[in-house]
Amino acid sequence: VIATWRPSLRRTLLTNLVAPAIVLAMVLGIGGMLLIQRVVQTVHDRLLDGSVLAIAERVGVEDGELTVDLPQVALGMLESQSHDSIYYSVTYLGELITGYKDLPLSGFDRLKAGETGHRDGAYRGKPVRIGAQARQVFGRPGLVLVAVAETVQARRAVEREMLIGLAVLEAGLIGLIACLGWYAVDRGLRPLGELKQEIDARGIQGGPNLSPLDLSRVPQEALAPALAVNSLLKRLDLAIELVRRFTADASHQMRTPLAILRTHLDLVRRLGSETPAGQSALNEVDNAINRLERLLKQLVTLARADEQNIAQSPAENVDLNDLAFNVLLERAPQAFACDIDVQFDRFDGPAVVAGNSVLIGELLANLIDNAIRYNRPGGMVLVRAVVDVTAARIEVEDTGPGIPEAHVARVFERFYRIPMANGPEGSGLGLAIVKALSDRLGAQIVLAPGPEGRGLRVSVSFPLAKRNSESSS
Amino acid sequence: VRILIVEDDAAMARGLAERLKLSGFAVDIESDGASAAQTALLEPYSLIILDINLPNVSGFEVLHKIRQERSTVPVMILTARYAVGDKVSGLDLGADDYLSKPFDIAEFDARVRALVRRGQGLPNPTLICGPLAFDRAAGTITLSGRPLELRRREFAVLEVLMTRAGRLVSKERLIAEVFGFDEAVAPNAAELYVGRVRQKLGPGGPRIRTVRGLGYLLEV
Repeated sequence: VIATWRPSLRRTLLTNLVAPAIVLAMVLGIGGMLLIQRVVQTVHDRLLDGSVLAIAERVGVEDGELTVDLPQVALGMLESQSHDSIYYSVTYLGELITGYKDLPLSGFDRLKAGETGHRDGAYRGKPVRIGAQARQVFGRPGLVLVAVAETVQARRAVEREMLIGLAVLEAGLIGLIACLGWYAVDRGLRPLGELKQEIDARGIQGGPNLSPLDLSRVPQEALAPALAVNSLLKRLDLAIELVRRFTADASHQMRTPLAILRTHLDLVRRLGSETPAGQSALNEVDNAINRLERLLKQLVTLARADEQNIAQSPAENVDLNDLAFNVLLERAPQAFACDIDVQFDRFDGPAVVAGNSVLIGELLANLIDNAIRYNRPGGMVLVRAVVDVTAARIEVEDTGPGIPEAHVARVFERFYRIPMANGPEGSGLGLAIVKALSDRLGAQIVLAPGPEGRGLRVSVSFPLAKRNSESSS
Repeated sequence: VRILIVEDDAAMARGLAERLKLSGFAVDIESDGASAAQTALLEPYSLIILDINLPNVSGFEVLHKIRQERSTVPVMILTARYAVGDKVSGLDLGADDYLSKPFDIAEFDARVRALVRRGQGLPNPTLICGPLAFDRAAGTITLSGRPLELRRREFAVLEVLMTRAGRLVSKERLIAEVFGFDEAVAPNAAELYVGRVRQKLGPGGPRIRTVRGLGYLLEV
């Protein structure tokens, strides 16, 4: 498998360490080379000066003639120093007194008496270094120039040797930096490897372990992503816990109706379905099945309200007047069966909101269902559409027991029921569904006592539809 | 033998009550925890069937209160909760049994019989008093091996007398164990049912002696 290119910490670190090290090494190399050349030149020039001096001291005047008394030993000493060739000359006012002819001596004529000078040149086709001294000789007006030329093999050899040494040292240094960088990355990244192993070891067996990772050994630089992982784990844990509790609650809610079914079915079997007691047991079976059916429907509605993608469906224009009327019409028989009257107050004008008619319909159906269930015989359910400047509202009022102050905060919780002896059967999902749906729709719910402080009034405010599209309705 | 059902779900309570009445028990129903704790202590119940999720006062609190008052009445917790922790805390609080909904009716029946039996200090499923034998599992009483044809109340009266054979059972206690709260009890109900039982036992059977002003006693 060819891996796609991805950034590498090691590569980055090595590049950033080694490249500057190479540049530094080159600067040092150039500087070192110059220094070496100078040192070598200075040292060798001193040696050359020694030779010049040795010859110059032998210059004398004999019978008015300039003479150089050069012992063979001295010359041998000069040459034995190295493999370089040595040439010398002694001139007076440009005239050769003794030594080699044609040594390049230009530039030395400006030397004053007793001064020594050096220059590079070529002699017999080879590069040479020439050292020269001007000397005053007794009884002569001009200056005697003593010059010694030396080929530069020895100098170059010493320079080369030192340069090679320098280069080797620098290469070693760069190599060392690279190795240290490599090792440092390895060492620095080891905690991340351990972190990975810890995550791998979590596994799924026996349920995912979502407890936070141990960050005590995570380096500071890697802490931010590790903390993010921990925060993600926490949120996941919370979400899973919510799902788990929901499942537990849902199954809990099914247990009682199932137990009722079993008990009463057993009674029917024992008593026979023709007896009055058997008949009433059959009715109980019917009721329990209705309960289960309602519970399942509510669970499905809730699951659907929880689905994210519904909210993403484009908002349509919904007229609350029409929608509320239709839902109430549908629910009216249920109300009449419980001896409850229904009333609808239509808003005088369009009450158009942006939303999803299916979801809003479901929300209203749940509200009206609640208002019918938690009511009293001879009571009343009133549905009203209201529009003001900022929002359109649906209000549902009932004449039931209302919600005691202490429970208002919790009634939207799933499966929460207000403890009430002889209250209607239910699972505590109605208002939870209303809440989930209104969250999806961006609607606001307000619970308040009904007229004269009795019963319950639920107002749901929806955002108004945009004006330009309102004209079409 | 009287049983108290503490259950806030009316349909559930009705079903259990019917089922227990068919087995010959007198049954009362309480749907509220607070009053259930009081009732449980006032009446001579042989078993309390207790739901945990009750409005206002939970079943655990009811159980705690009953045990605090040193009542030893057997308690069966019957609930839709199924967590092991609930089971443990229920039993630790002094429940004698724990059954999760939904349950098998036959198992429920058997557990009720076992708890009632143990509450009476009679772990043997068959109760023998001379020629009389009460098979609790089958719910039959035989006299010298022949099954007795008894109506529901008669059965209950004889059962109470048999479980306290040789001891005096007051009239009030007998009535309290045989009839539930909401059942109409005629002033002479005890005499009436004891008389009928005597008739069915016949001259060869064990004698039920009437102790005037006090109650009844099954001779062994």
